[in-house]
Amino acid sequence: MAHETATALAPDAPASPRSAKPLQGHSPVTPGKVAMWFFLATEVMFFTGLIGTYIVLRAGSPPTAYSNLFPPASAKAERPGLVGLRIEQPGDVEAVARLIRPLYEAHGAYYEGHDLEHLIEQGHAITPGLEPEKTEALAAQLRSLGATVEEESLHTYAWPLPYDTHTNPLSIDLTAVNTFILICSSVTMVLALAAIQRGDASRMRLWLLATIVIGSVFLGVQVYEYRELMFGHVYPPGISADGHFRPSSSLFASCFFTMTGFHGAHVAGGIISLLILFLTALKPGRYTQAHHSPIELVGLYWHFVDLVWIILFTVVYLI
Amino acid sequence: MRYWSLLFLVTAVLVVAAFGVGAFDPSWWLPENVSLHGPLHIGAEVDHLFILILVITGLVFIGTQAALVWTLWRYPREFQPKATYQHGSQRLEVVWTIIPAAILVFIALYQLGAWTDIKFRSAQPKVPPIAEVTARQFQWLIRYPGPDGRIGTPDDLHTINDLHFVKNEPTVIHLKTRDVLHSFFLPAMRIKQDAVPGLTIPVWFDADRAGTYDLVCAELCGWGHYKMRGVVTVHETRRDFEEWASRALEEQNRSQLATIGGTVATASAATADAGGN
Amino acid sequence: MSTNSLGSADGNIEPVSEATRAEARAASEGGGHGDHGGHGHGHDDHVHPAPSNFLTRYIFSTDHKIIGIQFLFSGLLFFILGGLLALAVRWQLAWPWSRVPILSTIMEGEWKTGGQMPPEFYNKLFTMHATVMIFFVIIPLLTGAFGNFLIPLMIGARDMAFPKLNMLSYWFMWPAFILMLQSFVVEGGAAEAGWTSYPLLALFRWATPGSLNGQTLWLMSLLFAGVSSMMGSINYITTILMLRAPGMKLFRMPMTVWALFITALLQAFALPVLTSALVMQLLDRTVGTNFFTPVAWSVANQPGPVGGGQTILWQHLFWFYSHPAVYIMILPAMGIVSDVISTFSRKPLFGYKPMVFAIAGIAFLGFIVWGHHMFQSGMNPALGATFMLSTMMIALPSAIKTFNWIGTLWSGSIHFTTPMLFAIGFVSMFVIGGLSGIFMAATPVDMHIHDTYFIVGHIHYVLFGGSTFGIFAAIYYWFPKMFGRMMDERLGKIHFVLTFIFFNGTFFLMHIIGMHGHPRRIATPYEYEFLNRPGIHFMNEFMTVNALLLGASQLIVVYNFVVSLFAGPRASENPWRANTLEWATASPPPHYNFLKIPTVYHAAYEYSVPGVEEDYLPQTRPLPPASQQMVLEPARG
Ligand code: HEA
Ligand code: HEA
Ligand code: CUA
Ligand SMILES: [Cu+2]
Repeated sequence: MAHETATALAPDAPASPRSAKPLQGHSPVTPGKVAMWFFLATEVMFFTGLIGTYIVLRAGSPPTAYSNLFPPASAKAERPGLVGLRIEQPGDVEAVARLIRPLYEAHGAYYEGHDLEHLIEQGHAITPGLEPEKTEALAAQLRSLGATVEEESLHTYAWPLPYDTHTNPLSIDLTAVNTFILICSSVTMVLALAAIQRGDASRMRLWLLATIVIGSVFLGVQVYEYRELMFGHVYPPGISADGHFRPSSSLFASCFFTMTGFHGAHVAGGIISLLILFLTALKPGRYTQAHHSPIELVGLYWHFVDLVWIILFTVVYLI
Repeated sequence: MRYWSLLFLVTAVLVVAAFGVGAFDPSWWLPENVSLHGPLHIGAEVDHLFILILVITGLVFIGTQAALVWTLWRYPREFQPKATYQHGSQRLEVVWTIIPAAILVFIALYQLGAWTDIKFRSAQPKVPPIAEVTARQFQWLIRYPGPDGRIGTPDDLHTINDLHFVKNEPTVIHLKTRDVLHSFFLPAMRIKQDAVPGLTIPVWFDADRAGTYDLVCAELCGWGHYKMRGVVTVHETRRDFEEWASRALEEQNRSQLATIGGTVATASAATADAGGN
Repeated sequence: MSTNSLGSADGNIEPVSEATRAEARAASEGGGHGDHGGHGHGHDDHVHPAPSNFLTRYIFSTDHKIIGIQFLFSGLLFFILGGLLALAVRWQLAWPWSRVPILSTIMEGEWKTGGQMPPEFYNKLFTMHATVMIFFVIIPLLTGAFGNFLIPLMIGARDMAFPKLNMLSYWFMWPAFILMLQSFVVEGGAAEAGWTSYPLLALFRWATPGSLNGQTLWLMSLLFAGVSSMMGSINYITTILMLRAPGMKLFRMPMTVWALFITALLQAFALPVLTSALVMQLLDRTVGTNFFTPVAWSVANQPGPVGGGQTILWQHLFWFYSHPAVYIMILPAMGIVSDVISTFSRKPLFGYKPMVFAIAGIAFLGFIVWGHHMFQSGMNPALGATFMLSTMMIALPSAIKTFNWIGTLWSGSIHFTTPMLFAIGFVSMFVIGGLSGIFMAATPVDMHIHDTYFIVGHIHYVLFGGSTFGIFAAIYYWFPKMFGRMMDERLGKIHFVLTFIFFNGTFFLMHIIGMHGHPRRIATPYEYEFLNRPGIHFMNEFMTVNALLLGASQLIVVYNFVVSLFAGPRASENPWRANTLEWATASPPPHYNFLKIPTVYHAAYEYSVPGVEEDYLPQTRPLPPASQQMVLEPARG
């Protein structure tokens, strides 16, 4: 992409739009481009810091850090042979909640307000692990309250697995769609640049607008995702000790929010820059075939942010 | 003004001389070393390396300063009105790259053996740990196995800031921390190891002379870092050590009767805290 | 080389003077100058008069020279603050728990101890001393002040590539300054976890009083300082790559520019990692993430919060930046010293290319030695062994530099001016600091001296004897160019002698008490039996007295600086008869630096060329035909 534009480059940098003059025999490298490449190199190092942290923490996470029955990093998950009960039909929700709440609290899982009741109603409640004998007694009590229960033995993981709803709250499907959306915005960005290189300023405006809109959709979906994770859902204890997936819930949550959050901030920065480009582009003749390097530089940044997302999506969601 | 060179000369001479004062006053030198002849003799290895590097760097220092001082003495403008026009010398560059490189590679390889003996897990002496040492702000909580020989059982002996072991025996401790980073530093045995939250780190050392020595906290751990002192007692024989241990255990059992609830460690820690503040 | 075509056009710029401003503007806007159009931006673009408004001229200036001077003044002011903090540190170490002059009186009410310094206050003192010195003094002075002032002048450009970004980079320092100063007065006071800010001491509010809001402010302040440095470094890289004058090939650049260029690269690649670490610590402290909190963590037997992070990870991230950072603090000084030594030896720099490669080598190796700060941290000892090896190797390029400096002096015609004395002082003191590094690089020896005063001795020999001497050399050397007036040579020499003597008196004995096992960062050593001896008492007192005298000697430079600023004799264009481009323009240089962008004919170090009458040959003047032959590739060695 950098390549196809290199030949048609204007000789100036955004810092000095005044010196726009067509030139023959010039070199394709402008100060603006050099600076942008080095800026992106620093961004690469920043995300390397975050991703490196993620890799180190994940590799160093003990094999029992996450489990289907206990809150993350609970020492109890280290004891094999424990059995939990999945409450499938809630029966008398209030009574069931009253019965199992102390059990949760004894294992460090505190559900506030009506969160526990919601969890039971939705059929996601799973009791912390107990010795098999004790489980049987508990199962009997629960059945007497009208609940149907299923035994589930303890499974432990060093890190939440994709699609494992006991330990991992992330919706890969939603984010896969969102990833596709972001890639689309890169395409429209390419089209915007191509348009101005042909000298078609009005098409460029259109594609810029499209990029802004699609980028905002991506950001909107991310905000929605965050909201659902932090407030909208009640999760079983394997995901979070208080039923909500928040930065403090687990190491996984810390990494997830920090990495995607900083990416989101970069997208927001990109949208603001695009918006500025778009608004300035409304002035006729502001960007021309010979002079459009701001478009190119912001485009570079936008593709970079896109690329980072693909890496983050792979690292955080998929593997 | 060739006399400027004298300033640099005098400084260099004083710098070298400062290391000579150690011959007259031991506080101007490495501290007492009681890990010279024991089975691990870590202190001997460390001091040997220190002296070796001191000699090498000392010679390099004397060489560079001599060249510098000589140049400043010989080539001030009064004696050299016109500088020699010269841009460098390929041969010299090669020489003064290769010689230091050889010296540095030598030092690097030479010290590797000592390092593997001191820190690699594979070199850990095959003896049961004498104690578990847990650092906390601003104390060393030390836990010895009781009569059952295992650490972590109710009959353990607990002490605070009081580490005991036996002369000429390879000694292993398990190092932990309850709160922030601390560092387990035995100047007389040339041992240092940080205590890291979440990790249990084995540390081994020995001593060839009975006596009491300082246990220093060498990692900044808060306002009381400067006073996080422990005492290390090296016993002449294992018998002495065991005698001490059983006496201490007896005392502990007596005071335990008086303590209701809580482990001895926290109880005595609390009193020590109150006293310490 | 693209820069050639770039610059050659600029050579044609019509001479402009302040009297013909309108003409200048016309020239910059093109007219008949089509051939040097947009490409030379940064050259012809800025041939317009200096803003006449005081605010835009001196405060919100986009002129690299003014910005450099702004960095210079704020750096020197913070140097006084950092130095005073250090003196309070020293006072406590010599006479523990005695009343500190002035400080005790000010803090009486706060401390409620009858004038005794509380131990946590001591921790604040050295934490803020190091933070201020490193982040607000040495780095801003070397890269901010001299980087800004010198780069465009030395490569023959009219300004930085991005003047507005440059202005922003200075103004981003101000939130950093304000947050850091504010942290002194918030509840719990300033940060006190050391300049290294290791968790968990830095992380938890219960850990120590300075880990209340003081630590949060510390983190935010460094984030701002980091953004400022980022902007600066990208600007420097671009400027050096793109805006060199015609003929200024890369291998004709002065060492100062090379050093600043490589320093900027170091910053660009190392700093973002610190940023990510600072951000993570900030999040750990504020929103409760667990990056650095371990599992099974507890205080007073309470179950800890959910954890799983790694304490040592912070150290890896921190040193991944902060080891390169120590080279960020030495490389520009090395460049400055190379220029000064060559100028005042009236002799070409010995081994120019090896010197350049040595700087690049230090920078490259600087990225793979960070673990030498962590030998005793619980890191895998096998990893420690590899870090030991790379650390040994990094001494090699420094050795090359040292020998080449001596080679430059050798058979030169040495002029003992003040900048030269500081440069020679640098060479002699940096060797001490570097050689003590070899002790610490040897892992078993480091086991004994890690976190003792041996390290503190090392730090100050490289950072004061090295970086700070370099800064003093630069101040004395470029003062005439910056302000158009000469500093007083006699006072300068007195300042040098006193600084040199008291510096050694303050810091050399640190090696001795350090090898004796005296730990660093302790409010008093005398809790320990093995330190409570007359020899240690004597040395601590001796060092403190010297430190006080060292501080007092700096009053000479303050006096000299201020008086010369207003009443020094006028400086000529080239008072040192030096070769580099900044001396080819007026002192101080006009707003647009050069009337006519100079053309460069050779490297910066053609002193005492045979066949040339004077003993120097500016880069703007061609070599005489006779010597052409021998210096075509001057640095080949
Ligand atoms: C300007 C800053 C600067 C510079 C240039 C250096 C340079 C070096 N440093 Fe230093 N260092 C610091 C600043 C600096 N350091 C700081 C601030 C700390 C402490 C941080 C903290 O904990 O607070 C530190 C800590 C530190 C440690 C950690 C110690 C510990 O905490 O236990 C180590 C360990 O290896 C080390 C090594 C070195 C080495 C090998 C060099 C080498 O680059 C030196 C190379 C130079 C020479 C060797 C001299 C010239 C050479 C010759 C004359 C020729 C030949 C020599 C031989 C053949 C031996 N440094
Ligand atoms: C560049 C960095 C730098 C500089 C210059 C200094 C300078 C000094 N330092 Fe510092 N120091 C560090 C970096 C530096 N230090 C670091 C990184 C640490 C480690 C901190 C940690 O453990 O976390 C440290 C730690 C440290 C300690 C160890 C504390 C401890 O571990 O308990 C001590 C103790 O003596 C000390 C003393 C001094 C002294 C006396 C000076 C003196 O040289 C100061 C003399 C200067 C003055 C008194 C100011 C006078 C200036 C002027 C008057 C201005 C001139 C003005 C114009 C030219 C206009 N320093
Ligand atoms: Cu414990 Cu310092
Ligand atoms: Cu280092």
